[in-house]
Amino acid sequence: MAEVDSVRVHAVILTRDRPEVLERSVDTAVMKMTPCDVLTVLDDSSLGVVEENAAVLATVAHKSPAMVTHLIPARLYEEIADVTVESAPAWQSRTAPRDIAPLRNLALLLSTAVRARTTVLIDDDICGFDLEMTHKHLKQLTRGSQGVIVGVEIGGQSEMDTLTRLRDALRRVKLRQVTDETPLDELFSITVGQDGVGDVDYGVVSAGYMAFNIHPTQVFAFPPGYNEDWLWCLMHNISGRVRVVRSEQLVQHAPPRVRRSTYNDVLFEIAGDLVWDCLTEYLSGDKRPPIAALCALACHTPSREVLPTARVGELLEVVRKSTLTARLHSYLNACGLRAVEAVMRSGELATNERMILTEWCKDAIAKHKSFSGLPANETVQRVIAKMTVEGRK
Amino acid sequence: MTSRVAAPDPFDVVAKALKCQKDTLSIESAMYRDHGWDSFGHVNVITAIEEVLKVSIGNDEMLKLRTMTAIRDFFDRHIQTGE
Repeated sequence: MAEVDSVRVHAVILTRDRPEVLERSVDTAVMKMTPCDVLTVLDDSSLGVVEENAAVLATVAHKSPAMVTHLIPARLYEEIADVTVESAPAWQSRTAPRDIAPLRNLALLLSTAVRARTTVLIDDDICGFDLEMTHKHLKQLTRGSQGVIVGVEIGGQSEMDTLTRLRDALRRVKLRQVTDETPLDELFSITVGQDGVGDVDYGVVSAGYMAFNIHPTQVFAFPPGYNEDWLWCLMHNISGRVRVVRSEQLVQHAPPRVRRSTYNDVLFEIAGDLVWDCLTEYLSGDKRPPIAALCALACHTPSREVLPTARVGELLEVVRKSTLTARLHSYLNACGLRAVEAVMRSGELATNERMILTEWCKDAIAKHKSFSGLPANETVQRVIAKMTVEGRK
Repeated sequence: MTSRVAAPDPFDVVAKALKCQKDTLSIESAMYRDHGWDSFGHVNVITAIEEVLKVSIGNDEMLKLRTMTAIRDFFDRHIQTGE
């Protein structure tokens, strides 16, 4: 295992084929890092981009007081699978191309191999963060053996699902907050101000920028699919062993372009939202262990109003009643409205929506079971620590 | 003689927006804690408040109105001041 006690902050940046934002993210990170810190870039990019990123990281490493490491998930998956009993571990499989849970779970394993007082997960399109402030914050909130997860307020481009983003855009149009001169990408932006209320035990925070200090024996795997970060918070929070806090710190979500949601994106998000709704409804006040709660949830019948067809139908009804200019309609279509309409027309939702929850529960349980022994598995920890050193720039 | 119009009840407004029974909500209710009050439900809640109080709610305010307590206080402020 790596020399754990000497590491103060371990920042893990997750990136996939976005070299233009990775450089910004890495520069922001090293600005507040010290020789006691480690920066790991988990690079899930295609080969050409990996080489481009490696060159950027080599330059950054020269000026960084912290150790900078560049790791390729595919190689890590392979090395870990080689020393565990499963030849194709369930936790490594994606439910869809956008499923980031395996990558986040790899980041979790890194956090247990390079044990730091503060581990921070950062998506490559997040900017304006301050690692020093985050570390101090987490330190203040740490009490005894209780784990802590600290999130932040995220402004800039909305991180929400396609249905919510479209619904909010239509609200703004109705309030005449959008004119023909409004740059259309602003339709999905969020201006967040300091609300002056201090930390809030909020229950869920985004893993786009999230710090945590959780003992390896308390770590729950990121569940599969969309909303993996909120579901992860919920899984830790229900047992009361881990406190989840949203701090007042502000960061910006600044992707290179606004998401153009496809048919599969919409289906992926809808499934995650349904799971989230059922979990919050079913687990409200529940104190049983997460796995037992998921087993029971698998037999739960979702309420009619949270079923995807109801939500999609509601949105399309708002669209029908809205007065949209051709320019606006065309933009919303490109950002996902066309895909939402296609999903509704296909009938795929109506056929599958009652199975979504059961299938998700089974998958989440299988993946957690496949993952749960790894944070305490010394062989796995040694493999990751070795690769961390090898990946050093 | 003055006519008195009943002030809108924030619990009625939120229950209607979330399509849930009013008695399932309490002053402890909050976004992400209660059934159906997710991000999509929240836009419905904000839209309903805007329609009932005839106000326009900005992003900043929208993020603050995530609890039943905050919504009740918002109603009280608007009804008292007639803003």
